[in-house]
Amino acid sequence: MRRFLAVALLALPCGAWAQTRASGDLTVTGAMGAGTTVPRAALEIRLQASDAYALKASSADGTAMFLLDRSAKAGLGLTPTGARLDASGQADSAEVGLELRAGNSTSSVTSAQAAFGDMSGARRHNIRSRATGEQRAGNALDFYLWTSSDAVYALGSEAVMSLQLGTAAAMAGWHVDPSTEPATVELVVSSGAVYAGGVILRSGTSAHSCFAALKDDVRRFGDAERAQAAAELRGLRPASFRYKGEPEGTKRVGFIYEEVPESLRGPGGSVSVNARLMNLELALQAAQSRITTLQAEVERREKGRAR
Amino acid sequence: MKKLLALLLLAAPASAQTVFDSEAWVVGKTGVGTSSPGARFEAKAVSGSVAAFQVSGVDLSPALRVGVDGTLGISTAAAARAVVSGAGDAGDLALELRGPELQSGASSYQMTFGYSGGTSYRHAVQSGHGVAPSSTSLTFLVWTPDLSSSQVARRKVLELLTHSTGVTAHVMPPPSGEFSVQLVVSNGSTLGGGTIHAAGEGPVSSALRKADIVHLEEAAELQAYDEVGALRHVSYRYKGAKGRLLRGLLYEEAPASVQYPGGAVSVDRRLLNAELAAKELLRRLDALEAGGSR
Repeated sequence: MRRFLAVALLALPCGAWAQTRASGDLTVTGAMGAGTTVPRAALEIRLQASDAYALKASSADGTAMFLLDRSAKAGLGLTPTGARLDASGQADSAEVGLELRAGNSTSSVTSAQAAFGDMSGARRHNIRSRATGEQRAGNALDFYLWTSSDAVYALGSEAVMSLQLGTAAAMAGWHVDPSTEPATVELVVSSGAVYAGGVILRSGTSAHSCFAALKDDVRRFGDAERAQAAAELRGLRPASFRYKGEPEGTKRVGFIYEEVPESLRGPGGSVSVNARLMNLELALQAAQSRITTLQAEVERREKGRAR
Repeated sequence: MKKLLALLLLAAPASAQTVFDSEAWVVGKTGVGTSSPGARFEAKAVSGSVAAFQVSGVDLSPALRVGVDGTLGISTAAAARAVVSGAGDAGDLALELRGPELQSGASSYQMTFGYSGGTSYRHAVQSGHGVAPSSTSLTFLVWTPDLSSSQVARRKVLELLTHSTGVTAHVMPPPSGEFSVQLVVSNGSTLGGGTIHAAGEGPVSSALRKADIVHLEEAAELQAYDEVGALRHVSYRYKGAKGRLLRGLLYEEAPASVQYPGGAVSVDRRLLNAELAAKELLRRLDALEAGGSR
């Protein structure tokens, strides 16, 4: 019997009892399987059919802090419900829900902070962050889309938008920045009811890219273009209207794309504000020239009368 | 002796430390710090410890750790509710969300942002995937009061999308009438005081998109001629701003025809008024040159 007792004591740690309790510390120097006798990791927890949760880390008072349920949904500070990872916290109490520390410290970005893929991990749109270590210049959040020109499992490489603090190259806080393929329109501002029917509130400055260094094939305009602009101005047919989908009674004023001269047409069925302004300036120059001629004629007649 | 053996077999051993020098297999539930595990494996924190559960690397650095404060750290100790550590410069990806393959019209989300520890008032990010050039997108949605507090946002405010000729950012706020301005560009000190840098801009003008079209005739040109003549241009500086003086109009002094919601003066309407006025100017010039007058 003594021999049997010794065997029982030695075999106890590896035994398969209905319940085994170790009140002190428990150290497993080999692999540990929970719910499995064939652990495939240092610690493998294998769900059984009756389990609601695979893993629970609870506080000293037994409150669940981390729960991994049977459908592989994780809850942090709560019971996981719909999302794959559901974290509870209170930003009003200075808590941060999710912190990603894989940002890029250089502008030669190779990876991303967050990727949005399909179930296979393919076609990944992504958000990249840049932190230069300086207070302002070059810090950015960049948004990239996956396109069919990217490899299926590659991170999307089509830069679309960047929220950034000023650098020498780009001063804007929000930079809509398609990188490669030319788009018909880069930024659309809609109202809820009308595509491109939105209003932009900004300062009186509307700045166009005008450095000579940015331009090729520069040609000065002369009298012929001024005369043409004046003729086109005369032919303009402004109209009041409402966009389809807007409530009846809405009254806007402007032009009909199909009725304006080619020189005023912009992309996407728009009439270019810049082109209209320039045509107006040219027409006014033409008018100034005619006024100068008229003034000279008046002076000539007055002189003739004085004689 | 039989009684002692039964106790050993049935009751819990009370060792100060139990060491398994080989593998340990637990077919039943495992409780660490608890005798009633609520999961297949439950680790209950002990007062004074730093973590309830930790998976360590060979150098003992935490690969996965649930702290006693309930935070989750992956490759790090957590300072937020969940922290993922890595080095983007070395090609690490911090978080990958492989939600359902969302096509256009999808009703689910990749990421939601709830309020104060709950699932109320959730903003959301939605991604759309496809192989065609025109069907991938990242969409940002904001919760609005027309939803119940537990519903996820449906109101799109910004969409980054590909289409057949490239990519676009689309600001797409709520229906007309709810907000008078859809995009505000500020400069850090003045609301709406920012500058847009672009090669061009213009209102969508196709007749296909318009209704109730009425052409503006000579009376409108006469009115515009008078309004342009009465404009009182000023130089100014936005309150709080520094630097070069700006030039423009004061909303309160501008004619109603060029005023716009939000205290703005519409560049497009000003331009239209100037065009109408110029037509009238040219007409008067024609008359002068012909020897008559209006």
